[in-house]
Amino acid sequence: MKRALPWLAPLALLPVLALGLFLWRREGALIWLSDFIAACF
Amino acid sequence: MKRPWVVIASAAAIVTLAMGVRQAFGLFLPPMSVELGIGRADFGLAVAISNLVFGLAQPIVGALADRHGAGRVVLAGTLVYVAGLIGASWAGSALGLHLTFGLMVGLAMSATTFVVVLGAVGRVVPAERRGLAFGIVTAGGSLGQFLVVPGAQMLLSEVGYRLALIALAGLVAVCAALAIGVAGKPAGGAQAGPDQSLGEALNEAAGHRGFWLLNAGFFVCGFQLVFIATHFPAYLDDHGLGLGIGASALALIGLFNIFGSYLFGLAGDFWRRKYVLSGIYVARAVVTAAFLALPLTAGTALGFAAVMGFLWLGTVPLTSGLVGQIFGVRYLSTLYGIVFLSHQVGSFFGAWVAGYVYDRSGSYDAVWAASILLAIAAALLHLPIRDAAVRRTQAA
Repeated sequence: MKRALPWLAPLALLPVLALGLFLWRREGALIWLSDFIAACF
Repeated sequence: MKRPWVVIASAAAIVTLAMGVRQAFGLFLPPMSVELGIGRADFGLAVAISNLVFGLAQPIVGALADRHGAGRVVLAGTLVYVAGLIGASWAGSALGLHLTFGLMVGLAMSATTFVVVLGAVGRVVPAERRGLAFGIVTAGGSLGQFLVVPGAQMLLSEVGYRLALIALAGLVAVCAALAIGVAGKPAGGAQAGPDQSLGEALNEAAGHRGFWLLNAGFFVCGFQLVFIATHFPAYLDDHGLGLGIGASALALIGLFNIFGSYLFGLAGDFWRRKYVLSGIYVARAVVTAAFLALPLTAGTALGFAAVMGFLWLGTVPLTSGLVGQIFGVRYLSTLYGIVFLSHQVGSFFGAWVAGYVYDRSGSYDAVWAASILLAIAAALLHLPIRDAAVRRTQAA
């Protein structure tokens, strides 16, 4: 279990990622429409 | 000496804020274009200047961090970043935008992102845990992109671009406090190896074939990522997959990038980094070829976004880790700064060449093919890298 811990550590971020997904769901269309996505990624 | 976790956490938080805010710039195009009466070309030039300055300044700023410590460099970079964002909120012309978004933020990015903070992290973490540490910091940058971009869009819709920029400046200002966490002069130490001057370190790297192969590999990384980031939306539009799928694809790239950045960094502690890097490039080639071979549907577009997102920044902890593994961490920021410059040159060509080819031929086919071939070349280039630490005679 101890050996697997570092590999599973990103799961601790799930609440934050849920917030991110909520924000993307709400704002994704406007981000797409900003027409300059290259600067975002 | 600082506790490693303090340095890692501070470094991750610094890149979360610095990368996240920078990645939100594209959102400011529509409102600023209307307000300032400027076109896409002027805004694009500001972003291009920013990327160019970011890359060109990086080896010099990295050397400053190796000499004076990451803390001072991050602090100075934060001040320039905040001034650049506030300046952009006041800008009344394209020139103002080029000076603030372009020059100032580009310079500030080189002082507040991976190259500078990874040097500080590399010096406090034992070599066998460096992959984990670099993975956490890189994931911080990916997390910033995932959270700050939609957050900034919400802010923009609510309060307008001038106040949104000032709010982002406030967010970046937090890096000044976090700089304390990565502060400290890099004076040798158990991890650093024998004393070496900067000139000797540069000569040593220049004479090592592996250093040039890493530069070539990172050039390919920059080319591929910026080609996809710049032209993938247009590619989806050309094929009738617009708004809904495009927005979801962006979210998936951001989401999977967080996992990939961390897990590939960690993988570097278990397997030889050059082979993991080679595997990433092979995977990019295979995924791109499969994406092109399959009929373009919402499913294949989202699947491609998720897998490419996973492979997006995994190269950062592995490439920087290899530089540290081969040359030591005393001049890690300088040497990785040079490799990062290659990445930015690749980025420039990824955006520009792809656009040029599309304008000439009316299709991205040749660029997709080039991207696959370059990925295969990068995979092969990493294999002959001699990844053992260079042996030095102790300086007198």
